[in-house]
Amino acid sequence: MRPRYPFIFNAIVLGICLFSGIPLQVNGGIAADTLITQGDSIPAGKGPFIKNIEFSTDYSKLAALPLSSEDKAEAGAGILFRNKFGLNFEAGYGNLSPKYAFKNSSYHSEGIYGRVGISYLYEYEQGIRLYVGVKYAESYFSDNGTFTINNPLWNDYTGTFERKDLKANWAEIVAGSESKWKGNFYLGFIVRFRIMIEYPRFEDIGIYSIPGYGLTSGSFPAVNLYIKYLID
Amino acid sequence: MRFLLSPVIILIFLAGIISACNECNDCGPGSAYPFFKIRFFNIDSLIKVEEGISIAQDSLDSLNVLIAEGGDEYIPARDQLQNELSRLFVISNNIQNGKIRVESVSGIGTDKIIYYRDSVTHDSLTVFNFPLSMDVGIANYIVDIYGRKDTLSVLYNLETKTLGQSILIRAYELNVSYHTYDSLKISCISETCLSNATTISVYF
Repeated sequence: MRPRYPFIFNAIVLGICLFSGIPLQVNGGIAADTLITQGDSIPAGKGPFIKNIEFSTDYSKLAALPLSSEDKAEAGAGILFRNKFGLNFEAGYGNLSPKYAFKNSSYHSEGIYGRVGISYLYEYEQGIRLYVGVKYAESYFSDNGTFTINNPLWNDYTGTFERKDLKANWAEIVAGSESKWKGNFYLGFIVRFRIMIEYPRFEDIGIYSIPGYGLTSGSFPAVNLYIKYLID
Repeated sequence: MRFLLSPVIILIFLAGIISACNECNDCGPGSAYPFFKIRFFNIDSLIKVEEGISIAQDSLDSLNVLIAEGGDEYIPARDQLQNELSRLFVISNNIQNGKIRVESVSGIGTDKIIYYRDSVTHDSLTVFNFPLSMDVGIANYIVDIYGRKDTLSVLYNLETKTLGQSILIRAYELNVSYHTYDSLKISCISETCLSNATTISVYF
């Protein structure tokens, strides 16, 4: 009987997130990451130079749309070499309105982002793969907000801010797992540890969240669930 | 080996989810307006109280001499005078510490008035927070203490800042441009005389 742990686990986590309203990750992120073998008997490191081409999408983002204040979509593509090394690309869109960005201000950031990365596959069992990798990412976005400050003696103050043509870049160390679902479809998850390289710093009001990266206030791990289709 | 796989993955996953749920624990309307601290020293009253203490002290000495010479009938008067002297010392101490009851402060150009007599403590305070206007870099106050009304004008510059999860307006280079008190002193913690950290001591 084929092991189903990763598949069952992915389904459980998706259920938890849907019913609790927990965003599956802080920022955008996809998972076209890895390498996949076809679930058969070709061991990693063997086989043709290009084992397959893969396409993926982060279904957790789509599933969480009704429960989230964020509008995100992400897709990726990749190539698996020698059944062992992966080269992958991801692109996404984020329209973020975090409810708790500031106590006395609304906040909205919107933009596109892309990632390119390499990964290394370890086939734990037939149809179950673990992988690690590194990525480089860039995001192009804008943000804005309106804040109000009350004053017990003078007029209350309402201010706005709007910044356009912003750019951020960061690196990611990723790890994940995926398992064969049906035919050429795979289900998997990826954990991302992100390291910010550079983003615009403002003296008055700082950037709160970046599409594709998430909160700027800390380097939190992010988790994505994805579905992938392989073309041999 | 496989039995180790799921627990490790679950732990990594939960760590990610918990970290992602970094919600604000104390969210609500902000109160990030700028203000300065102000203390009042009623020197005129202090002089009068000190004079009263001096007179009472002289009288007490005289009474003590009479009582020592057998004038026991002066004992009630001495006790009463001692109580009065104690009260004057308390008043003097309060004035020297800047403890005072401000009735209200109003701003010129605004309809709002802060009534301190309606405060929860309904008691004398030593430090008051006077809000600064966030529209322009000047604030004119009318301060009411025991029916005595004085004017105080403050000049400053404004800037927007983020502190934690609040966006606030901060004033800097605070300075007094006009007042009707006898004198005053500005104490700034930093060179830029930031709001919320600047204290004005008023003497009248």
